[in-house]
Amino acid sequence: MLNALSHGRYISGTSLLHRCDPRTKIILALIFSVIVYTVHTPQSLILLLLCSFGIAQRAGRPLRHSLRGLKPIVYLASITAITHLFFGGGPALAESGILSFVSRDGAGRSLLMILRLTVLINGTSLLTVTTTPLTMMDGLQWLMKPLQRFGVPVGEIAMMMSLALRFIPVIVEEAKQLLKNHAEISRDFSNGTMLQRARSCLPLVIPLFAGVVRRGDALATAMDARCYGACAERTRMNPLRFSSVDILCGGVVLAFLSLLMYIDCFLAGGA
Amino acid sequence: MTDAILTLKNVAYRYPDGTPALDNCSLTVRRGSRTAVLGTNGAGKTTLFLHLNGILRPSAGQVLCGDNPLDYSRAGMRKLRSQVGLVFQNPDSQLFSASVQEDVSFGPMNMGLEEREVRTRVAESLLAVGMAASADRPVHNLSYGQKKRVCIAGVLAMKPEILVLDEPMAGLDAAMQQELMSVLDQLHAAGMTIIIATHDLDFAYGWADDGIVMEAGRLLAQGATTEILLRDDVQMALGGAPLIAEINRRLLLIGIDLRDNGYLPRSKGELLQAITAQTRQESTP
Repeated sequence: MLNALSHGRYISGTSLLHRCDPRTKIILALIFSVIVYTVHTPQSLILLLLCSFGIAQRAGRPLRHSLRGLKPIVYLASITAITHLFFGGGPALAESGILSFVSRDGAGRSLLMILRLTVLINGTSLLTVTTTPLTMMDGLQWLMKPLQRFGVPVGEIAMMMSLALRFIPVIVEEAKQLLKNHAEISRDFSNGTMLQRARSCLPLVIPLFAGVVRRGDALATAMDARCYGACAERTRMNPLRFSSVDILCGGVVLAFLSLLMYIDCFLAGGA
Repeated sequence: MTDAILTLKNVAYRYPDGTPALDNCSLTVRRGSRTAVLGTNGAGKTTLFLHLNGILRPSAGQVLCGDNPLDYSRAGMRKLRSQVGLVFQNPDSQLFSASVQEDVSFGPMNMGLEEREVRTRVAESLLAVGMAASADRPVHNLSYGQKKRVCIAGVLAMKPEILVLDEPMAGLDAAMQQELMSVLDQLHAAGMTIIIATHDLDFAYGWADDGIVMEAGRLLAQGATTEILLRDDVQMALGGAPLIAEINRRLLLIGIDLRDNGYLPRSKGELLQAITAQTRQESTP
């Protein structure tokens, strides 16, 4: 699971998606997320999943990395699926035996739910894989600019978000190191009942948390030392500019998603 | 204008939990000097550095940059932090951008400089630390020594007059230390004042012009390293003497004086050179 968390980190490259403006990518990721929860058929979701794997491959992220990145949602997906399977309502899958407890509608819904989560995680991770934290921060800041009128500290929020993204892999590395150092804890961590495992996590979580606070404190001091917050408005070395790449990427993705919605409506209507 | 670029006058500092960190510290850093700050762990070196950059404000006393007391307003801090560049010990807690040039550009961008100026400064400072070829490399792929150099570049891009480094040699192998030393020598030759906190007495004795010795938050000694590091109380506080100074002393005891133009050797290289010269002199009939 720890390995999986570090797989959303930025991978340098020159693909179309890498060259796209972060604002375009953030907006497309939002539209993508809405579409994932709007489509009704598994076929549409499978098509979206295959496309996101394909794009990830083109952006320099091998398929096995994409698959490993899905590990963290296994538990969540399993719990959701089981809930839908047994409490989905409607007719049962069979008249007798264990399948008589399984809802037919629930089985369909749990399949859709697992597919949705998988597509969502894989698709949206393309944003962090192809965008550096600093440009992501610039993009978020630009998009949230209207909120400044209402006194929202947009710059600070964007900086916090980008730092959080940047330090996830570092914290994962620290957790791995702690697990290595406490081989005993590591064994307990992956064995026993849910409660036992949760308890055995404590000696791991406390030093990890202390480490995060310490690191945060050191980072804040280092940022202070480099004039962070000393100027009302930070400048940019690479000001954000929309280009033909954004028109191309945005156009292709929106056309594809529109077509997908049309096919999905057609398939859902047919079913 | 005085010769002092930084001055502390009776500075005291207590951490919010009441722990005293600095106690009545008065010291001066000369313009254009190479100054080593020495002291055991917890002596107050890092706290002292945080005062030089205005990150900490003294509970009592005054810090002066040039002839002027520090101005703790936003504008004052912007000016001070671009004058006094502070590089921390652990590069991993300072670097947070994805690529080298993004990270180096952080300071100049915070100063509100124009895009073109930021680019020029980033290129110049990466060149100064020998990392120009790695401008686009991801930070997490760099070696520890390279990360340290990127940290220095990040501060140099703000064009400081004074470079303050907290234990820059810690964690570096001998080759990396040499590389970093040559970078610092070049910066000093270009007129920069350099202040380094270190535990390495041999390095301080060989490299620094001036030394500041801290003990439990107090200033124990200040002056030329060739003098203060020979003092008994300083050696007692630091737990030893520089090896070269000790060799010089022992050789003098048996009547061998390696003085060249009135100066004793300060580094390993100078010592070997002096021994060679002495041997040649003695073997000449």
